[in-house]
Amino acid sequence: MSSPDTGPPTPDTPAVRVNGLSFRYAGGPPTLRDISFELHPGERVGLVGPSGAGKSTLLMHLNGLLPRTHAATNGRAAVAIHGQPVNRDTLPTVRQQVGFLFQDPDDQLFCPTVAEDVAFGPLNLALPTEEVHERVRISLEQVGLSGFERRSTMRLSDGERKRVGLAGVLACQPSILVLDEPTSNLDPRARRSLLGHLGAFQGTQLIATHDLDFVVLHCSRVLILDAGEIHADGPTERILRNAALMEQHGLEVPLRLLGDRE
Amino acid sequence: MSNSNSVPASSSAVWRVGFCLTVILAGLLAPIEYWPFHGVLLAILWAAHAIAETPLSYLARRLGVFLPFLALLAMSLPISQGFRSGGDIAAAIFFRGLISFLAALWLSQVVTFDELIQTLRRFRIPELLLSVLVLSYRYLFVLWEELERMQSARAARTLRPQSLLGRWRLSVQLIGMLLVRALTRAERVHDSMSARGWDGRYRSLEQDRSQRPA
Repeated sequence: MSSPDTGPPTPDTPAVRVNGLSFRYAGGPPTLRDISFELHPGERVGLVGPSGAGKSTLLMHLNGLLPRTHAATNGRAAVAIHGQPVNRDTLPTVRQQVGFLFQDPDDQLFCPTVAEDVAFGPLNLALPTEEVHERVRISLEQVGLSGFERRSTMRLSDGERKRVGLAGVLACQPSILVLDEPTSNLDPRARRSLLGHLGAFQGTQLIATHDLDFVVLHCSRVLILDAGEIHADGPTERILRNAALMEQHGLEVPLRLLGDRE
Repeated sequence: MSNSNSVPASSSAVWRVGFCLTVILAGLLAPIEYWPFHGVLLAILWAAHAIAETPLSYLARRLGVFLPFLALLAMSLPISQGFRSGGDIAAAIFFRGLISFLAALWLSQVVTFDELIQTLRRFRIPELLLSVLVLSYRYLFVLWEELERMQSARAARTLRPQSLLGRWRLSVQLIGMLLVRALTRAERVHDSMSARGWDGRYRSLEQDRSQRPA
């Protein structure tokens, strides 16, 4: 049976298509229930919801990190990236296209030096040495950490570690960025700096966060995920200004929008 | 690992690692009947520590922890034989252990961890072993911080002095919880490596440079 997700992508092909995705961890209750949405190329979308809503689990499916991603619904892949279904055969391509920034930089930075860590992805792509070095240089420049190449990954501030993590993701030159709580544990300066670096990225972005002011500043669209289900999908301001909807899902209207209203 | 500059600048990390391995190997291979040779090795190590300006308190603290375990291990054989024999084996275990420990301590004073890894790579130690070393070193500190956080959380809620048994029970719980957290952390690290295309083969910049044609 041919899948509608196979075949060359057209300009109308969504960057990300999630189609009826359901998932539960072994022995646990359902974490995701029949999730469906599409992200278009270049779109910046905020994924918000209370703790335990399933945000991180959903993000992990986009990178093929959880096995159920490989399931199909109604002949379509549960998750497709640029029209390509996520399955065991497509994982290398998918992981090259989808850059995943983890919430805790300690999970991501495991090499002794910054350069080694940023080079980890490009080396796995078997790129020529010169290109690996060039990508390391450019990625560190993009996140404002030029000259950090030989620094130990253990002796960095939280903000610097987050930016090195982002550089490691950017070095793979993904077309889609998936970010899990990118602003957690960042001071205002580091947060502002990260916002600038993400603003410069031209590709598609899906950002799971509790930082709703960040979503207002950075995203044009918002998804509300609660108890494994998507309860709202629409333009950022329209969704986040809806106090009743926000309260219903354990959220609050961001201060930035409250200020506009007064 | 410190980055002491107190040793002569001309002695590179390769020589330092080579010296350390040579002393350990010599100590291990020399029969215990040649005890003056072990004495010479200990004297050389003492001098090496003096040149590296290893603080005496640093040495004393570490020897204070290590020596009782080493002595217990060395004495286990003579004890099991009612002190009728096994003295020579006990001496061999004690002196070889002491030489190896002092040599490793000296190396940790004069070579940074990164230098050690690069040097071992030059000695053609298998990359898999090196990546295990790197990951262990990297996450030792993360787990240590995790343990400290759990200890602080426990201390903050310990409102009266605990009995020895109570403290022992809490420590066991703490270690058990640390193991669980270490496993969870390992899973997350594996996920983050997979997300960047890891296929089970560790590649490094240094290795990549040495394997590709110029």
